[in-house]
Amino acid sequence: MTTYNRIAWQAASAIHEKLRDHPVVTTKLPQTAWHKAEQLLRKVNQAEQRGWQAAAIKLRGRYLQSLECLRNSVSQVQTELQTALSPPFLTPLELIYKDLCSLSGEFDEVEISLFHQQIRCRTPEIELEGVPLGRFSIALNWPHLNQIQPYQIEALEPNPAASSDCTTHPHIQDDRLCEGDGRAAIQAALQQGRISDFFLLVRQILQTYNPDSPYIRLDNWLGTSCRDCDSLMDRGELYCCRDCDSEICPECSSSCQKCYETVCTRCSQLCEQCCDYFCSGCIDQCSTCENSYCQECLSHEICQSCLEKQAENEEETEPPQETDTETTETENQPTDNPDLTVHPVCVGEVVVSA
Amino acid sequence: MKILFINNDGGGFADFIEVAEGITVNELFEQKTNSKRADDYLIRVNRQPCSSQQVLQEGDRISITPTKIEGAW
Repeated sequence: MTTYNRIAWQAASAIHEKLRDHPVVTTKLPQTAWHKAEQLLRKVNQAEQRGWQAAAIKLRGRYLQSLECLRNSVSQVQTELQTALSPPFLTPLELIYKDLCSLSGEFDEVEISLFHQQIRCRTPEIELEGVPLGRFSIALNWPHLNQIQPYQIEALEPNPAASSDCTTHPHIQDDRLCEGDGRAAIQAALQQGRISDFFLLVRQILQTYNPDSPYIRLDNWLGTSCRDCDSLMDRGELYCCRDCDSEICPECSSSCQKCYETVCTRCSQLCEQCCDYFCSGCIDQCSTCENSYCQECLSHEICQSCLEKQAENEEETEPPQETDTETTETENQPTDNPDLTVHPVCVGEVVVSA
Repeated sequence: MKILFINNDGGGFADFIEVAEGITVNELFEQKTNSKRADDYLIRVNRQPCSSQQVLQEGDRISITPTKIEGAW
């Protein structure tokens, strides 16, 4: 018997004893899925209250997806509990030993540490949708077999998401795998001492990308930068400017003070009168001075300043008015023209020039 | 004859079952999976890769594991 085989036999004995004396019966409610759904519902309500219709539609779609995930998670918990309550099948000691001996046929490197009470299997390099994620080490701690997740997944050549150092795989965060569809089968394999099945299941999850439910999507793996400040972050955290459609971070975004739509710093325009910022749909130009004003600060497309100037100009150009008395006096005044004589017979008549 | 049948699809199943003498891996697979595609599964007999026409023996351990298992967040 080789050294590895001796170690494998001791590990198998420890595992068999652990499972025989402390059968694994654990379930947990899908709190993460619940919190995710709650969070999205809050965002939907917020978007609707602020009149951000486009954002609300997008968020409603994500909310529906999260409800589907929650439903599936609850269904899995039911299945696990039913499995746990039925008499468990426990792999005989010899078969656990054979499982440990067969691991080297499925994994590049296998290590059994009696000191750490741990079995580690290293996967080949994993690449999903063109994103290289490197190799992973799956470490099973057999003293913790009665816990919910008695193993960790360590990235050996980490290529984490740009926006999250602890996300080394779309379904791994902080060295914890979110098992998804594999959860019930992994639980069953660990409860029953089917160690090789456990490692195979975890490896297959690592080699599968679920675009509907990752921690971070692979198309955002390298991050999306804010157009204005270049900060890298998950695309879901960026806002979209209603005017130019560019993606901007929360710090670089502002809201139109009339319609509350998101606008970037380049597209938001200042009203010269009230000094608030508006989107292109809520700002106009004064037809006289062509400066920018919000619709509240314009009166018939003219700003207050121009209206006042117009009023002043009208007062200055108004001509002086002539009265009727002055005109009559002018007409009755005798002229100085010597050619015009008053006939003594015509006394009392006025000479009016033609 | 009795074999150990393990189906890691869905909730996972593992138990000894009675099968007909001379049954092949492919025949058992089709019975137990309602004729799903074998390419979508890792099929192991006694923890070793096997051919679809391999005839099962008394006491064999056969496991079926999906190649694609979707994780979540």
